[in-house]
Amino acid sequence: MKGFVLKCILYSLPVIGLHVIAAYCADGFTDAYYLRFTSLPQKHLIVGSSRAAQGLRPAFISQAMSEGETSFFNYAFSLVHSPYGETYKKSIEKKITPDLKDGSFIVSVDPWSISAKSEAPEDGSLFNEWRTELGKTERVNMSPNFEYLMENYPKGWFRMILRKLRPSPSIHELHSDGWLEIDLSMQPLDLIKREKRKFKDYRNNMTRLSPSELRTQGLIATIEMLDSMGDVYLVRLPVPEEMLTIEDEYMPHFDERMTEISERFSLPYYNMTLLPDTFRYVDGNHLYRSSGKSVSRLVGKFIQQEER
Amino acid sequence: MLFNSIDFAVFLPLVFVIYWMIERRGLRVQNGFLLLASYVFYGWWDWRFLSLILFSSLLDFSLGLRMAKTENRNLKKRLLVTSLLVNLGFLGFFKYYNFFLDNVQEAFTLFGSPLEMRGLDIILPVGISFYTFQTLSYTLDIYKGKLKPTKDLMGFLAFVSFFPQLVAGPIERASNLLPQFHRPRVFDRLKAEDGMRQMLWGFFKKIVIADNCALIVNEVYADVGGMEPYMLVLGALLFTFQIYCDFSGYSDIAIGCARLFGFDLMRNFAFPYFSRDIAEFWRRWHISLSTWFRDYLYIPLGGSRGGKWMKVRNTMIIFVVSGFWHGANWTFIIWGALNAIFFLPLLLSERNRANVGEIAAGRTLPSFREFRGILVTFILTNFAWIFFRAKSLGQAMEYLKGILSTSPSEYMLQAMSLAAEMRTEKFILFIGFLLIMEWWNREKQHGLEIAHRPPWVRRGLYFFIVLVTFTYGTFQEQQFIYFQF
Repeated sequence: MKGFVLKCILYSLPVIGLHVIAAYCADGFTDAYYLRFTSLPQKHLIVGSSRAAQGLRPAFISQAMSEGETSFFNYAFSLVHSPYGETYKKSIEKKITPDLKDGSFIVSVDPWSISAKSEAPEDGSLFNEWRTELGKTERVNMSPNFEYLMENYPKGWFRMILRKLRPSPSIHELHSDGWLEIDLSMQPLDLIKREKRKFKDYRNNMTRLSPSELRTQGLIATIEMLDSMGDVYLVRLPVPEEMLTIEDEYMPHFDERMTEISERFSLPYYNMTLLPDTFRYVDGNHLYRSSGKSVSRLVGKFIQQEER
Repeated sequence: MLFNSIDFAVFLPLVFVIYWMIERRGLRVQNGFLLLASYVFYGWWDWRFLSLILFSSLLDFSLGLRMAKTENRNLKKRLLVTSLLVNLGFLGFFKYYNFFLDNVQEAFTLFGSPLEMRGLDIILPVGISFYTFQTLSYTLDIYKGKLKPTKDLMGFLAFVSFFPQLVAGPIERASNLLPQFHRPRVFDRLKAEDGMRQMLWGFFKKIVIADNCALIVNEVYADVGGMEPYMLVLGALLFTFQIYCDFSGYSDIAIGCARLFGFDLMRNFAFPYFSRDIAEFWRRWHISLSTWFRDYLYIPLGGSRGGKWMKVRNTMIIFVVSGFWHGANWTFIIWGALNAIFFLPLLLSERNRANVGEIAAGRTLPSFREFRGILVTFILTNFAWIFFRAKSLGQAMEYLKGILSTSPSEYMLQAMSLAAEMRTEKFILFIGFLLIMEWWNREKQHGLEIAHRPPWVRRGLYFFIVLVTFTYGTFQEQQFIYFQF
């Protein structure tokens, strides 16, 4: 029996060793979320959905603030992972430096991140984000993040070693500051196809989802928490005209509600949908990286003005 | 607790070490520990249903003792009927209540008198179809005088709940497994090593092949109407491998795991896709279930004795019931009926035992005749699996319509573009590896029974399989298909 156990251990050791090596190979190409759970606790965060994840580039926000000291970390995910609510709020809290008082937080808002399934938009027990990578990851500041990889990485870990040895093109790269870079063809035909599909999806969302007061309370609770730790800036990112039309139809009083919240907490609200739509989008929803640069600089300048 | 989970990876070594450490304390202690471990294993999923398995076990334990004490045939019968009613009653309620309700409502609606009946939100206890049949085999065998009841409650409870085979089989017969709880187990290194090999093979089948196939199959079945015909064909083909690798993979892990503890479970799959006809397929597929139905339903009904119509009747009953055992849906019933239709010509022409020997015995490759038989059987089972996988009869018919909606030349063109797309799907190559390994070891108990091969072959294969599993395996939570039964 001892011989058998020893043999098992001997065979297991290289397998376990390779897994540990693989974990160290995990990087921004592992998936669209992993790196966000490996940085140290942060003082300045960007939170929101995939619009913020792809549209707000921390490096250019800091650059525009021309202080060089405020470096943001993009902790925005997607409508599935990070609609406003208890799960996202808890995760954000874990991501922030303990006992922080002088943080800066960009809270990206849009009608979809305060919506829920039409069948029961006020039934929190039907909110599913607890099942996602964000909801399942308790430790959000560990590198390598073994917990995240064990719970969420759907493939064999040795792939990560393979990838390190033989890099291959990827349509996405998650940067160490949390910005998710997407690399899709911007050829007009491809773009039109993606836009059409996106607008169709969001038109379907108008019936599939409904505004949720519970989620709005989740947003307010998040803002309240962040407000106690520093300065909060509400931002509504720009979208193409057709998407804006859909959103105005879906939630006509969205801006009023956001203005109301911003006044309640005396925090600035930067509604970028009011800007001239000179930006480029990857799919009618998410900003293309060059436009993300411009938008990020505008947000940086806005924050700087507000700080004065 | 799933076999392919971190929880099990921690659970198994712990249980293994403690189990053999307490061997000296005697059988009772070992059985008690196995019982505890099995209840932890089962309760990990939902502790509330522990009471159900405990109740079933206690009931059949006491009924078995009572049956053996009496000489009165009628009383024996009544006790057996009690066991059947209670166990099948639980199974019927948890598995079939809503199905019957829906069909009754539909029938009334058809006759113009709609009936309003509310369905219940019932959670199907994992493994109920398996352990119910296992405990029933105990009372049935006692009734038939084939088995003496046990007075060892601990051993009996451990037999019913034995964790390697509790939730998805093999469905053990009391006459095979129960005595193993009553005799000391001795650690057998060679047995344990082969058990590990079998587990490795099972994990490979499940994680690399079944779960990768599932990703494509789920996509195809989620949008049957929107799929190209060649994708439907691919979906059907991949499901054939998914269900085999998922289920036989689980069985391999269960059997291999049991061997670590000194137990021998019955074989559940004997390379069924190498079958030369459908009768042989049913001697090689889910052997524990098909033999259970043969012994406890088919033979009592008269079996193959009697006239032609008796044979047809009994065959239809057994296949339809077997289909129905899988789930509360007409698709399973039709799947069972289809298999009966494929089987009957062989039975009626007395060719159902034409292929009982080993395939290509003493040869490397099958003969042309054998290969033709294998191909035809494969196509027939493939066809029937479409119904098994579909969520409704409508979807199954839509699926078939979709497959038949294009010309052969169009299929060729589509197949070529598919081949180009699929070349990046390495797991397809591993299906080839699976077939080669299982063909190579077709006369053995499992696909990786290679103890007799030179060390460099064995270690090379272990290295390759581990590498492939941890590189190309899918670790998304894909439950074993048969958990839902």
